[in-house]
Amino acid sequence: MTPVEIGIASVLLIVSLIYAGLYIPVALGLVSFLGVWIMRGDIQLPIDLLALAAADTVSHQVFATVPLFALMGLLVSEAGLGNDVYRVANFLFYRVKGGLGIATVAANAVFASITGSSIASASVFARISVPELRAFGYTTRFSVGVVGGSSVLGMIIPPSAMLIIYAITADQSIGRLFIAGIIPGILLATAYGFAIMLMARLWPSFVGGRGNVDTGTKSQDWQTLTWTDVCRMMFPVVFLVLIVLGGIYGGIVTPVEAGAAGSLVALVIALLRGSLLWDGFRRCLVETGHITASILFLIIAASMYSRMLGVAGLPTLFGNWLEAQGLGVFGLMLIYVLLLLLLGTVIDTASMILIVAPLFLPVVEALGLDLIWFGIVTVIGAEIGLLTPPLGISCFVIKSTLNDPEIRLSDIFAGAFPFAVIMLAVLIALIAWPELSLALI
Amino acid sequence: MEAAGPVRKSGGGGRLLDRVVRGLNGLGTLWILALLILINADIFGRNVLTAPISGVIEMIELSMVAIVFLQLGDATRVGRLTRSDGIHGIILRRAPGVGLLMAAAFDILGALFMFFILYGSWPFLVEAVEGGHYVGNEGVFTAPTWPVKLILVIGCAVTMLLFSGFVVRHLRAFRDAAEGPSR
Repeated sequence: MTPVEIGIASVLLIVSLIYAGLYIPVALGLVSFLGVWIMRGDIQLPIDLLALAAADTVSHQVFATVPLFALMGLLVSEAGLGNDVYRVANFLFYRVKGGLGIATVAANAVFASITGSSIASASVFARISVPELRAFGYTTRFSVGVVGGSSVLGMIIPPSAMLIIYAITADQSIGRLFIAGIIPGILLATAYGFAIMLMARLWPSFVGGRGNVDTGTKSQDWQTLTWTDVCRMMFPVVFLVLIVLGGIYGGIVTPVEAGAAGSLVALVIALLRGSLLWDGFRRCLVETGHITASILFLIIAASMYSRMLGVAGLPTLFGNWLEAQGLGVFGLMLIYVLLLLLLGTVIDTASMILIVAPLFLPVVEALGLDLIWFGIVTVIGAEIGLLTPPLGISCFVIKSTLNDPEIRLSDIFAGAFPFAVIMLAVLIALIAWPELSLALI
Repeated sequence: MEAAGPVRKSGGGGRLLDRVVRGLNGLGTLWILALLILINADIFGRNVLTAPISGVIEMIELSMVAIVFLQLGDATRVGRLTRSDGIHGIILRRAPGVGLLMAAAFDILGALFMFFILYGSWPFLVEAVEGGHYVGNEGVFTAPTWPVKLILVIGCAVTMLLFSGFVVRHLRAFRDAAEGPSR
């Protein structure tokens, strides 16, 4: 077998093993080990490759953004900022038809600007927003669907763990990717909002909702909020956004420093609100550790994989082959998005970016396309998989957070489906008009 | 990746290992906290006191490797290594025997993977200790590299042992399942 054939066989083997259920870092690392061993016929070489990848890959300061932004997100969730944002959004939108659905999207968009994870958004808003929506007569499917659909905003609107992972893979600036994510995130949130308004009119059997109902219970006290309350409740969020995005955009701090400062401010906010006890803080730190270990170990294994691909010369050859097909930008992006959608049904977003992006980066670069734009397309394309069966992770998180036997997983997937379709439409727009991603940078 | 997995608990023989893994995790947790304080102190020192802390970048770089390998064991123990277990879950329900054997095979591969990293990393540890390797600039800031290499080796070793423990448990469950229905 030629090295290229071994490379192709390795990629196929990795994907099959991941589908079978093997730990993804183990699949990436061991198959890469095997591939290099067969190509070079010397076992010492792949052993050195594994050891070097383990010691060197994450030994760079950008990787500190992973634990720092994870900690910041966990602290703002613990502080209950999600609840405040949701109450303000309800106050602003409840008079509109489908208003509580729109409010859920708006609250998610704002919350996303202080957290970097769709999983955090899904679990926070499943708790806060689903009971509220159902109390106002929205259908169960729509209630869980809108929470799932809007949770993806968490990883598109910066800070975003997935943009960090892409930045590392493609060797691009985290700060520029964060800034590039702003307009696409707002665009997606707006598209969701208008779609909800339309669906509430044209498809009431799916959406439900009784509109402006004054039930007078304590949980609906957002109806009586004043603008002073709104300012008071939004202040911590605005402050955090200013520090993190303002700091990065203004060039005052690096992304790593923004993450550290953001975590510290989130900690102070949580302490001032009296909502963070020692136990909760410890839980946040332990969770941060688990997130860090699982993401960075995955990145280490993915670097073994990309080193193996390099030894096989696969990215260059694959790039040449794709170019020789004369697909053009449109054809290339069509193949890319279809591949992301297909793999996204089973593989998680981070792994998918790490596996697929290195194969396409050389040809994208050769065609003179912008790698920041390609990153936004990659992350949104990969995130659609969070909502699609059989393994949409956001839907699973909602299911396990709600823990209500009446709400079946299939209801969540059905409810999230319209939102996945809207995501795809927005993705097509982003591909057609790269300015949408690049205007701010 | 971030979805909560089932908590795996080791049996009697694994209790000591569990405590070691939790201890390493605690150390890694404190390390993240220290990193947070260090970076904020540097921002404050640089912008307010115009006195930056030297060696912050080097310390972050060393810390990242240390944090990953201090936490790797605990992340593995609580089932947080990234995987896609949907299809495997279906197999476990429809044909538990096959599913358990597959699970055992996955954990054997996990242990094997950790062994290769461990085997390859050992010479780097020896080299760092004997050669007195350090990072940074002489006279400004230097830090030895061996503690992080040691953490890497320890992290791989405990994770390898955890995987081995999982293999034993899956095989026991397989044996029990095979004996169960036939009686």
